[in-house]
Amino acid sequence: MTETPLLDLRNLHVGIPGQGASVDIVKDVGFTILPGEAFGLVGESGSGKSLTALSLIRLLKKPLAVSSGEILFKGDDLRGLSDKAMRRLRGDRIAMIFQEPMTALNPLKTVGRQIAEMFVLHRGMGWGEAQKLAIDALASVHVPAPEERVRAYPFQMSGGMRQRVMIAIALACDPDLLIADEPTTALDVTVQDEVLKLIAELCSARGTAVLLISHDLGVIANMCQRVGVMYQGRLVEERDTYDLFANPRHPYTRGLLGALPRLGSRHGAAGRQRLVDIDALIADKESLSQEFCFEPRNPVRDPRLRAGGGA
Amino acid sequence: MRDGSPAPLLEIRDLHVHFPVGNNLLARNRRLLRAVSGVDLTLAEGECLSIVGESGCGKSTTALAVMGLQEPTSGDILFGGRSITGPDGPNRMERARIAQMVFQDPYASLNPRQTVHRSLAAPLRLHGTRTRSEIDDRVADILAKVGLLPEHANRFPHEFSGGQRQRIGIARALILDPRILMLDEPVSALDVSVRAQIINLLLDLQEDLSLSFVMISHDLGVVEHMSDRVAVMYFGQIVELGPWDAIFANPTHPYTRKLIATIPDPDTVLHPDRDRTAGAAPPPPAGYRFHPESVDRPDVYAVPAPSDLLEIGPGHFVRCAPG
Repeated sequence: MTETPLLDLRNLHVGIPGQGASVDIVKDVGFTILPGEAFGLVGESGSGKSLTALSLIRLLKKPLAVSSGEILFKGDDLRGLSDKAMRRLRGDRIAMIFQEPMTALNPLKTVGRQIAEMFVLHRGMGWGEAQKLAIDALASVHVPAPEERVRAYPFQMSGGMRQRVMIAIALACDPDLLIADEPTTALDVTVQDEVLKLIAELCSARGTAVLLISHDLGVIANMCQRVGVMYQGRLVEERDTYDLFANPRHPYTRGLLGALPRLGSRHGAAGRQRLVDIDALIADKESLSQEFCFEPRNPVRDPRLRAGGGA
Repeated sequence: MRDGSPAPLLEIRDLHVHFPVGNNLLARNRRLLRAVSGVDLTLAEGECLSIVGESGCGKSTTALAVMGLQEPTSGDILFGGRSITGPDGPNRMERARIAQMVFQDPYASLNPRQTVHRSLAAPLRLHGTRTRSEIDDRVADILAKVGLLPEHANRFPHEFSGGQRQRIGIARALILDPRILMLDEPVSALDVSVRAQIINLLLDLQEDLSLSFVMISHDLGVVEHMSDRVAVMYFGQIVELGPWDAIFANPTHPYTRKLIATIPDPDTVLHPDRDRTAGAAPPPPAGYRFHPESVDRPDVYAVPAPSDLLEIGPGHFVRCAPG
């Protein structure tokens, strides 16, 4: 596999620019995604995985900004593009699915119109023709009775159906890269399974690469060929999925896997093992910080209280 | 469904909760949404019973009925052999010492304008602890039990992280020394590492204080880790009930099998050939309320056809097809 990567992220820093020293929240993150590959980013809240994804398509909210690094998409640095060129690219070549389908869809427009918009904006079609393609797009994400559902509003659909509409919008223009940020966190397990299978099926059929962001190691394991683990704004481990789960190298990854109550991990009636406490693990080993840039996080939110310590 | 052991701590008998739907002023032609239709459950002393199922299956309504926050349409709830529902049951003050609830969202379940001390002290005052020193001792004691420091009592909820807030939620539930904790998705709002800490804490507390847990969850990994027995609910009914190892090693009802098969499990990468649903089971007979091939969902307004729970192993019950 020595193809040229579709996305090549190099030394990305995201921070709040200020006078003199800027505070970096995402530090020195780099990875590559090959065409058609599914890459997973896993980490806890605040680890910077969503910020990394948003910076790829220039959707960071102020005052956050990319402070340095290169975002090479098909060899071109996206940071050098004008806002107009970026708008053309977004939705067409790189599409994104968000976590909460109710807030990501426009409540005042029918779902058919929201899908048709993609064809009108990116393909220059008329609304009539676009509306017809919207029906096909809905059918492709297995929404039952697509001819009727194109006229439905988001509030008339269930969470799983709304997420299917989001997928239809994202894949309408056959993008090269689909960014899915916690696409199933708001859904029930059985619905989650259907939606994930749908994403996997559509993307492998079209050769779309996927950047999947999740805090759920199970979701990542089932969907991705390679995984990056983020902790405190850094990418601490990036491996082939099988290797990562079979033989995690970084202590944080090991802690994360040990902290997860896994099916089939409990043996015998008395076998309620204690789960690994990552924070205790970190506090124990100060030497880790030199070896792995692995600093304990501070559990207390208010800096005034930090001296007091906490749980 | 009793297993010969002494009277269970908590017993739910044929619980029904129906909600009238529709806004007909004369209350005619109203349809009844059958949120819970005929649930029988027992909880033994020191046991952790988990109720699993997807949203809308009636698991939270069952918990609310036990808490006295939702009046059952019919059925009986007994605590130590004594009915706690209806006009002859204990009043709210007594009920508060029977069972307390830990909620899913630690951000929403604490009063943002009250210090932790005030939130924790209010139930004590209501229940007759008057002297200041007694209250302070009890608050410090309970904070220590959940792994917080005495000085945390004077802080406000916004000053804590999610995991610490859930610890406060647990302290609030424990302050009156209840016998049962109802855990409604206690860790699903938390990050993996914090989740592990809270699960460890709950298991320690259960041992130290000989508590009984009823846990509601859709995270089967957590359920397997914590439970002694598991009840699977589907559209208001229990479809499978049994010891945790029987449920996970030998899931029998098609809905249980589907639930277990659909959870994303990191271990599938390492053992892609392992079928978690234990080999090829015979296809379920037609007429199950749940059928894996059918996309139709049961009608929540219809009276479910009578069906029985069939014992297929020691303490392991499965609802058979009606008729």
